[in-house]
Amino acid sequence: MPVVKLRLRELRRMLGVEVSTEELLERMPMLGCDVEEVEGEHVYVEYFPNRPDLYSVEGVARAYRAFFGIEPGLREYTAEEPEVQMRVDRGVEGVRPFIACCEVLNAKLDGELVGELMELQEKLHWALGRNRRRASIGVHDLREVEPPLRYAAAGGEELRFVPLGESREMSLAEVLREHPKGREYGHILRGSRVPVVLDSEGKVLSLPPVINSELTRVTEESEHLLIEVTGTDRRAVKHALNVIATAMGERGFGLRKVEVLYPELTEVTPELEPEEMVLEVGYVRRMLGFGIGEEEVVESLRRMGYGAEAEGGRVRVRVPCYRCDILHLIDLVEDVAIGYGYERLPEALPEIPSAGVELEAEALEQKLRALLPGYGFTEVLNLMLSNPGENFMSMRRSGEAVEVSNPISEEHTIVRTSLLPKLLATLRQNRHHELPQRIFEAGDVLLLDDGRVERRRRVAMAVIHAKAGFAEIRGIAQGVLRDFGAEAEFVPHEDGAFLKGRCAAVVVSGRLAGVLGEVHPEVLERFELEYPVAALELELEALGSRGAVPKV
Amino acid sequence: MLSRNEALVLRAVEGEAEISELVERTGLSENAVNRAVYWLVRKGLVRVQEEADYLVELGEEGREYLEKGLPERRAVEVLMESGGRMGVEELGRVLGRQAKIALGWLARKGLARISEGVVELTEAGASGEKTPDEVLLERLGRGAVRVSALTEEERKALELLRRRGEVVVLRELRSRRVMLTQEGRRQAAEAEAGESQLTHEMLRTGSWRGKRFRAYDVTLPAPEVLPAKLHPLRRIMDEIRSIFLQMGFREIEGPLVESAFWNFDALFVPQEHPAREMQDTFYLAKPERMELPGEEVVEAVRRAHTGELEGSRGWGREWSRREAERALLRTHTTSTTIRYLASSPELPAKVFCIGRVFRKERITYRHLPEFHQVEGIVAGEVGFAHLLGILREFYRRMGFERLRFRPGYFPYTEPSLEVEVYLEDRGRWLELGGAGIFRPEVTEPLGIRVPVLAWGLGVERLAMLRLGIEDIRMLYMGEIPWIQSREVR
Repeated sequence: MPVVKLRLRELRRMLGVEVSTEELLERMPMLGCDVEEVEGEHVYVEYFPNRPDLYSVEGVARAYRAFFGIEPGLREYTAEEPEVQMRVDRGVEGVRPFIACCEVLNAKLDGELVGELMELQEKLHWALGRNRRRASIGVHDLREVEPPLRYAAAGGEELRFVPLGESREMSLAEVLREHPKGREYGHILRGSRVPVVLDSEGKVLSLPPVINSELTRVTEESEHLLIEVTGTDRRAVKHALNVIATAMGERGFGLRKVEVLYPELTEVTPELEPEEMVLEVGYVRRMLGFGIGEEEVVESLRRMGYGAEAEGGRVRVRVPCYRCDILHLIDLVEDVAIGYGYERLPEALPEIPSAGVELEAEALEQKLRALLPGYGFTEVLNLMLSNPGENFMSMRRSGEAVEVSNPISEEHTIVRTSLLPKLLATLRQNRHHELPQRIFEAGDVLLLDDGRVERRRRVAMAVIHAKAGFAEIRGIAQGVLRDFGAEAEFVPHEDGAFLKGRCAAVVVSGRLAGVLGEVHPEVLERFELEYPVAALELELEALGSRGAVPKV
Repeated sequence: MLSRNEALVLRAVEGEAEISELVERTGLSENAVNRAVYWLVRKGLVRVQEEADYLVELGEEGREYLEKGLPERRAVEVLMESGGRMGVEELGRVLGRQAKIALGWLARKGLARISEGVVELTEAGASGEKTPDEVLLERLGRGAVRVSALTEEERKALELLRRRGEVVVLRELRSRRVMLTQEGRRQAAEAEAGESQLTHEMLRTGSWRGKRFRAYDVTLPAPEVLPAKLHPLRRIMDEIRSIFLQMGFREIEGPLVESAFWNFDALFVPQEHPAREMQDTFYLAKPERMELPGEEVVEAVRRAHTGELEGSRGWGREWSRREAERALLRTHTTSTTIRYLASSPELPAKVFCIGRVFRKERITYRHLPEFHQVEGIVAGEVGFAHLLGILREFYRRMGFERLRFRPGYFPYTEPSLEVEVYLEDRGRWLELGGAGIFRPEVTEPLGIRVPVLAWGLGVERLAMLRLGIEDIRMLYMGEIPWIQSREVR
């Protein structure tokens, strides 16, 4: 999630009131953020992905001016009528179809502000732009540019320009091929034609979403700017523009709209007018679970930067243009709660009479787990992710398993089909500790059968010491089955993991419910164990539960 | 009040003894004897005198001298043969290499006088008596001797021998002499009298009657006993489970292998959301796809995403069924509660689930690719205030008294919150869980028309707090003594 670096002095100046750092840090999280750390004059704050309007000091100050009650209510922005046109060629339709722009007049930038503007851009690329795919932003100095502007698609060798930070002219294809940004973001553009923003003389302003031109580099001297947002998602494009344009507005810079001429449609951007929504007070009360007053709803919304007026049981809400996260009335309800203050919200226990009900299999597992320390077994817990070497080969077994397509390492490529391998690995881990050792694990394995995944609850037990053998583990198996009143038969069985002739299957009601025996010396060698091990793996259902996962 | 070893050692001292003697007499290891002595000193029963001492042995030259005699003795013999008088040069020719040494010592020991180129035996020299250093040399020839065991005269002789280089070798010895104090003497006598073990024989014959049983020092620690034990993480899960059962919740479970549909789409997580990307979620190669539920539910979820649900803008973009079919390892137990909501449950409902979840994380002290979550929902005529109430009650029962709620963000809940608990010992707030009310875009497609409160909490983090560990890997390390020595509080 985006961490915003805020200059405390700047934030205080923009808040316009004296507030101690301590108080600021204490109250800031109640708007919805994590204060990560304070470092001298800077505070690092992590804001949520749904609030890109808070990714700049301007946006943060705006929100807290309302939240702290300094200037509650809707903040309105105006922009001059358009003078510049952006003509959109039909060619961008299948490439990167949407564009929205805004001019910034009489800007006064300093070095720090230019840096912050770029940071805001990067954070919007992440949050709204999905790494520039859905939307990307270019900010330009318009001094060298001749309007009207064009948004068009061009072939790789049709145009050349000097990319930002370079000294030589490159073709579009060269930029994509050779420039670091081209390599990083070029993959977003799949076709043979790429989008470009041009001026009336055919000079390239940018190759979105990759890089701007050196021609329009923004410096501390820049006064006349163009913000241009392109992308594949109309809503994201417009929101990104609103967030950045209103941040400029907060700086006191003038805004001027731009006329965007699509082949069949003309839009004037940015659209800074608030959107109206009607919120029923009854709905707020129902969702919050207490009888919040109508005036309190209005007050709370105003603290969150909304325009709000009560209208007899309902509230007319004006949503500021920079809020990208209001999808439903429920989003306003949350802001009522935040504006009201989470620390002030009443708390109650629901009056729903009910009795606790355990899962049968879970209850059985718990009974079993409570029993096993009585047999001298200590419980261990292992990861379910395994690999064929451990799960099959080391066990002298083979089979199929659920397989991860993007594992973190070669050791974690499949999900275990048996509990025993990890149990032997645990014994290996304990080689330097005293013997005898007796351990068990109760847990799940996943079996893959003809493409279908079957989850099995199981328990596995292992003992290691100089005289560990079949009789001991068989005695334990008998005991445990007896403790659960399970009628089981032990029949000779073959399993590569166990010594031939010293391995039995546990059969309960005609079904194979488990396997036990003396672990094969070759298996012991693979797990670097130098004492005999006797082990058992049992289906939990053998002990009386159907154990199956209910299908929903 | 003596331990068995202390009593043994006390009796073995018999007035005064060295550690090595005590080892021999008690049959205990030197370590055990030293430990017992340490405690006996603390109890005022013995005193220990530490002395530095040296062991003297013959060196290489010393053994040669023992065999051939000291050079000056040979000179005396030569002089005796020639009547007790000889020219220096002549004597030198007879003695060869050692003449110079011999002449020096003859003079120093007063065995001969040297004047004007002539050597003449004194009375002492002519007597043929052995000098003290020669006597000592012979004694050393019979075996090493402690310096402390030498007489004053012998020590002077030793000094003489030491001036001759490699004749004798000294090795430093530290000796600890243990001596009974008055109280020690008394208790030793008493301890002698007591029995240590009550035996089957005594009980069978009744001979225990009239016997005295030695008192032990019951304040002393005994060797560690480690019992077989349940795993601490599982015990915490048991505890959580029991709290929810007591609070009247029904326990549910769900599959570990899920479709993206249940894990993400049904929760209104947009298909382009970063959490759905390959770097955060384990997608499966086998099986690659999962069957989706009935068309009605799938269609309703699709409509919520594309903004066709009344009252919601949705994400306003296309929704891919193929993306929803992708098989993955569930990234949260919310997939299980959402399945439950989709199963037309009886309302109101209170359910919970504890289970394993998977995230594509590399193994470090902070992260594992698998961990456990506890998840709960309440569906009914309830609101945000009830969510806060339930959470406070749950955390209170888990032992957290100071709690605060902060606004939070999850794509599938609104309003959302984060629970923080105050750690008194660390003096800071720690985030322990997230919660909220499921968005209408989540519940309505499933036919649920009432608010659904939902919360989730990572069990490992709670366990680490309880167990006071900083490294999450400890929980899955399987160190048997570690597991067996965890507290059960």
